[in-house]
Amino acid sequence: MDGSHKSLTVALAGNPNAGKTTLFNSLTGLKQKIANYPGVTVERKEGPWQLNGKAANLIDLPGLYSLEATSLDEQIARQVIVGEQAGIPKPDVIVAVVDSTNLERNLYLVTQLFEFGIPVVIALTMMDVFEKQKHQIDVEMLSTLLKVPVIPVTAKTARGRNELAKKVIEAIGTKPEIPYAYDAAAENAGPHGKIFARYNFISEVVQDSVWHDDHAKHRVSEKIDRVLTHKFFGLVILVGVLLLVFQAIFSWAQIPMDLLQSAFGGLQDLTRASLPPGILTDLIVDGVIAGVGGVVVFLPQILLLFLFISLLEDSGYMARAAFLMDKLMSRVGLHGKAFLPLMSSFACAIPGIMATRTIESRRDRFATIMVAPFMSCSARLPVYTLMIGAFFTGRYVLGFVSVGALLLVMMYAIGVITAIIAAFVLKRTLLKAPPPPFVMELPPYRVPNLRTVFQNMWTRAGLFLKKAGTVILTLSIILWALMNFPRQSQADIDNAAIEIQKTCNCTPEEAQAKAETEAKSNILQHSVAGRIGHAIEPVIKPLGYDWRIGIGLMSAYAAREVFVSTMSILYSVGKDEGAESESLLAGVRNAKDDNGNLIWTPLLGISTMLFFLFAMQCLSTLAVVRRETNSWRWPLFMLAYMSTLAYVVCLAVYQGGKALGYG
Amino acid sequence: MTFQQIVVLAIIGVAIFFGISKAVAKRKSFSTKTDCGDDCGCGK
Repeated sequence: MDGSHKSLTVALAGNPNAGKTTLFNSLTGLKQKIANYPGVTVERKEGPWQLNGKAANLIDLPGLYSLEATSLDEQIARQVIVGEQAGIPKPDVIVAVVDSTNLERNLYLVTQLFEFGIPVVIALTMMDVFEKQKHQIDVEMLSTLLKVPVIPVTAKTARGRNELAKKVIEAIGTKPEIPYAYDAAAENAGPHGKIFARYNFISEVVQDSVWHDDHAKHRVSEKIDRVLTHKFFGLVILVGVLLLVFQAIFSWAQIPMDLLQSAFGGLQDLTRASLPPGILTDLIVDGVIAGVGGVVVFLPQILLLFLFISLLEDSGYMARAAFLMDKLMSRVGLHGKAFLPLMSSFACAIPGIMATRTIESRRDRFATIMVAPFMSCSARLPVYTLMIGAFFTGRYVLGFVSVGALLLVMMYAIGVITAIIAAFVLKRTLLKAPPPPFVMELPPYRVPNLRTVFQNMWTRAGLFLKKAGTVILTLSIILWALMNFPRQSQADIDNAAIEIQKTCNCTPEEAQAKAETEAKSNILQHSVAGRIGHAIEPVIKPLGYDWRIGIGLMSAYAAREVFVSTMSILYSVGKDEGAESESLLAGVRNAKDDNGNLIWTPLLGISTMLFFLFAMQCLSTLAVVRRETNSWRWPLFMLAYMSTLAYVVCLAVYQGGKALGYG
Repeated sequence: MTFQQIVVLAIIGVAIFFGISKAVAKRKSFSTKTDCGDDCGCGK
């Protein structure tokens, strides 16, 4: 024992959420001191611990995953362990808190602690949870293999407290043995050789000391995995599963979508018939009902998408998909941990970007953030469906695969491929760094819990409807106003009628009616939105878009689904008052430009889908990127590079398609 | 100005106010800091 200090010093080290603080509180009682380490905001907690009569000062180190000393927490922990932290003597013993439910991950830190030459005693937490999960640990075997004492502890019941104190006393002055072999000079050592040596050792330790009561389940899972994670067949099955999912989304959602469509159409007609004609009726029918209804009809597809995502996640297949993609992702330089944030981005890029916080390296994390919005989020689904529904409904490949489902799979696949290419470029230019290794645990397959699945769908439906009732409603009203103001005054219409009567040789009533019809058709053209659309038309004309679509593209920068609302309002505004509400799909198909030509073609539909896939059109995502990267540089870069990419791709597709005769 | 026009202007005014307040509101839901990785760059 080091005699330079009177009392003993014991450091408590462990992963975040391993139960370290609960154990610290249980061992020190209420006599702990909380302060900051000098000069930094990392919390320093210490308190007295009675070790069977001997007083010790227990230091709670910051929660750590490793001791690579790349983060502030790791640097401080390392300084405390080697005795370089001012005011804290070098620890006599380290108590490593290990969460038994995450044994592999927690033991990685322990293997690093062995290398400091300070005796280590392991406190094994969460044993009750682990046993509930039908697993068992042979504590003695674990201790033998790790060559250190291992004590199961339960902070709530004080289980193992005395034994832990006894083992700590016994360990003082001993020298730990590094239980795994690593030869840095070996030819195959490589840059990550030591990391692999630690994980190989951990894997052997866990295999020899942990039993799974659900072993039969694991054996079946292993057999299924031989096929589902196969290099070639695994990928074929993955594509097949995705195709099946989107085929189902399309065919199953059709009936409820048609019903919702008719319901909103009926509501529009009923409202127009019940209310007196005027500006308020126009706002309610063409602004509110058309705008909100246009988005709400896609609820069945959103629900089905989340039904399948939940089923795939709960059954354990999603982890296999991650495993299949990991090889590809590590080849382009993305961290294996990037897969889950990217998968979350299929629902929405915001939780996906927030989920990147689990990636340790800043460069790996930023690369993932920069490519996450390429994953087709649920807000793009209504736009894809609108285009597919308008131009590709009822078309089949090989007699049974619907072109719509195929196009949808392609949109998702193009998003993933673009994300991979973008990450490849970023990791070799702006965010250059070697990819760290990644170890992944595949859970056994199981029957999905229907309650969890439906709960997830319910939550998603709630969020979607909340957005429709707040953000989409607000934007629909503002868009309607932008498309309807400035309006011609009655005096201007009367003057126009007098002018018409002078030239057309018609009755005053006929001239008045003609003036009012002209005024109505001019509303959109001369409205604020119409003027904005006209202003940007020269820029978007090469992509095949006219000023009306320009309004839609601009409005979609608030939220992508607003494009559908805008189209819905746009094609309601220019319509004759007496006409019945036609479906949005027919509105898009039959829309004509100022010369009476059809605006939309299947080629333009595909180009629009690609624009929405590539362009960064979500202000909320940009706000989160700003927050998560702590700088405006990254969100502005994201906006610029994604918008440029969208423009270039759509230009190439539209002009190329036209040259080939598809225009 | 007719009553309908006044109601429409009021609705548009409320929508613009709501839109602006939503846009400038501090996004509390984004401040959840869970499982922050080491050196993650989020300024924790």
